[in-house]
Amino acid sequence: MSSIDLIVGPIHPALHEPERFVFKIDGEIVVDVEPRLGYVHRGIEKALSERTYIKDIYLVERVCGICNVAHTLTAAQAIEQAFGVEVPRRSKYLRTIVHELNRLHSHLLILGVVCELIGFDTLFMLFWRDREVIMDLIEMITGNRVMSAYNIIGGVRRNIGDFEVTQIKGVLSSLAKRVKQYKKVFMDDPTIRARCAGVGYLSRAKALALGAVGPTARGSGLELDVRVDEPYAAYDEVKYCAVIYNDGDVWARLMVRLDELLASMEVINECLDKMPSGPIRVPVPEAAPQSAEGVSVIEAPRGELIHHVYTKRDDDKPFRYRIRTPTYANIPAVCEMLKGCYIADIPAILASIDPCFSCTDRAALIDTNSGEKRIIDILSLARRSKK
Amino acid sequence: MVNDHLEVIDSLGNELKEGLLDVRYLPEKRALLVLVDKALIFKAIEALNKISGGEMHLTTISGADLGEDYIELTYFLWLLPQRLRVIVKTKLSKDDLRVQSIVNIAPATVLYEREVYEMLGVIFEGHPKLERLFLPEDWPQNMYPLRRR
Amino acid sequence: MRLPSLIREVWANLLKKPATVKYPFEKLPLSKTYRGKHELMRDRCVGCGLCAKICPAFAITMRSVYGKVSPEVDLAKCIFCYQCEDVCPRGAIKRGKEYELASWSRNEMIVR
Ligand code: SF4
Ligand code: SF4
Repeated sequence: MSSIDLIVGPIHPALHEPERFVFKIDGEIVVDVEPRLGYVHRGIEKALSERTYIKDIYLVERVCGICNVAHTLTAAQAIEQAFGVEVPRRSKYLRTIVHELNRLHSHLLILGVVCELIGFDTLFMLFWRDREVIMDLIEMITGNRVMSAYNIIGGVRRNIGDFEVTQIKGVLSSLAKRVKQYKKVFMDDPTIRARCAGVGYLSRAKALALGAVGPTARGSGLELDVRVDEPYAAYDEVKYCAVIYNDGDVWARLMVRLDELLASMEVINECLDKMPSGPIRVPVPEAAPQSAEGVSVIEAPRGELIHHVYTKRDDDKPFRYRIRTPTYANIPAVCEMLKGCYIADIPAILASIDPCFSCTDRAALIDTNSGEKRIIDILSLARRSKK
Repeated sequence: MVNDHLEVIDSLGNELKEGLLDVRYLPEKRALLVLVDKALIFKAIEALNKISGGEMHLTTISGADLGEDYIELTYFLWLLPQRLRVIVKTKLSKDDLRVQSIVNIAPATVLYEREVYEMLGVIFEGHPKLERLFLPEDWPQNMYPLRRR
Repeated sequence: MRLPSLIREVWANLLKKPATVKYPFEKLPLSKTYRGKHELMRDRCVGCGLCAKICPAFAITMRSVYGKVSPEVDLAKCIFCYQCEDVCPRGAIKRGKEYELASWSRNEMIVR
């Protein structure tokens, strides 16, 4: 049997890890997948241990632009744990609010992208229009649309007042109505059902064994949500229930994100109501007061994110810094999902784990029989798949 | 719920006997720290898998060269039924950087073990495909970027 | 036939203003906290060099002009975190509102 290699990548979808996927295809069906990572390995882990802690916060922010708040929050928590610093309660609430706003914009982004890839451009435009109001809120609180530079070791950098609180509440209440409307569309629109339901199936057992995290795991019925399991920041004081869907397909993973939008808005509202007054920042020594180890696990928009730092006494640089990003953990799972799917479904399945689509994607089609090689990008692959 | 970690400590002690070098609960990390001999790492993970009834989620493996004559491997696990974070640590001397791969228990490690291999030179025995993951193909052999000398 | 669920959206959008603005002619309002181009107040600066030491992007160099040492910010390197503003003991660095920073030459990217 002659199978054909379909190479998608190398400059492909993920966060700080654009990948190349080599698909072995038989006719229209994918039989095997081989990922190749590391095209933009920037050596951040090494660079982190050569900069001071304050600079590190800004460097981890650049691991991934979309979930930058998640990275700074994790780094700040890990370093605070190693330093033995306790941050003020108000800053924990502020961190939670910005972290959830970050999740809102990230989820709206990927929902829009998936809609575009399955050929529903109207919904893509609507999602992205609604994302814009969240970006404005983030700019209002932190001073920049994307790179928030908000969390810092020992607390947060800016405070919010009554004006901001009413603004956030107003925006969220109108957004919640719209998200409910979109949820209805997702539930019964025939186009979305046809392209997403039953596509890219991942069973619960496989998700667990392959270490899937975040909405990918929760879409397969796996009860993994760090906000519930190991509450950090203010999550131990607010009500939050993990969103679980049992279908395990692309549709379930998108529905998890839609429901999480609503849940996140509730968390933000509750935080705004409960937020105590007080200081937002405590002074932190520049050099580590002790040789210790800090571990921080949080639920980033794409799933469980872990930072692991070793500090050395009287040194202002971390000794070893290790980051495990959520998309990295989802790679084995997405390879499993792709087996047995149609070529036309590849973009939707890849996008359903929410890798970062910030890079322009390229794919090479190599026909092993004729040796012919064509290079196309993933958007035209998506366009072909719509025909 | 609250005392689940005590049960885990007991069962681990029964399974591993003297290979278990240290085990204690770290309240500030809300995690159970397990220190084992490197020969027993496979058994320790297997035992934890059994304790959780197969409901074990492997978060990551992180390797660190702390400038001493050993390399520290840290396995982060999450036990679903016990809702407990377990951190398993082991030390490999730099003269003999071989350790048994745990791919058979937790297929999720397949990429993490490759990363530790290329960054620190730890050889995982029994790994189906121990190759470079992130580094370019023309990176020199026996150069490990995260090693300290 | 069942009406598509987005039909209400279509009607609403026919009557609404567009969500976009015609950028070079029309600009969106900036928030109060916006982090744009730096404003350096040389008369306040005491030349302590703390800002150059803390800058995560290595964008600040201390230059001496007529015997007075003061910072220079290279906007091509700057990541607009404003850690320099936080650390300055004299309040000599201020957040500006300017965000159209493209330029033909590297020299113009330096705020003195
Ligand atoms: S804003 Fe940040 S990057 Fe720019 S000069 Fe100041 S400290 Fe450096
Ligand atoms: S920190 Fe402030 S006072 Fe010191 S050199 Fe920089 S601008 Fe001048």
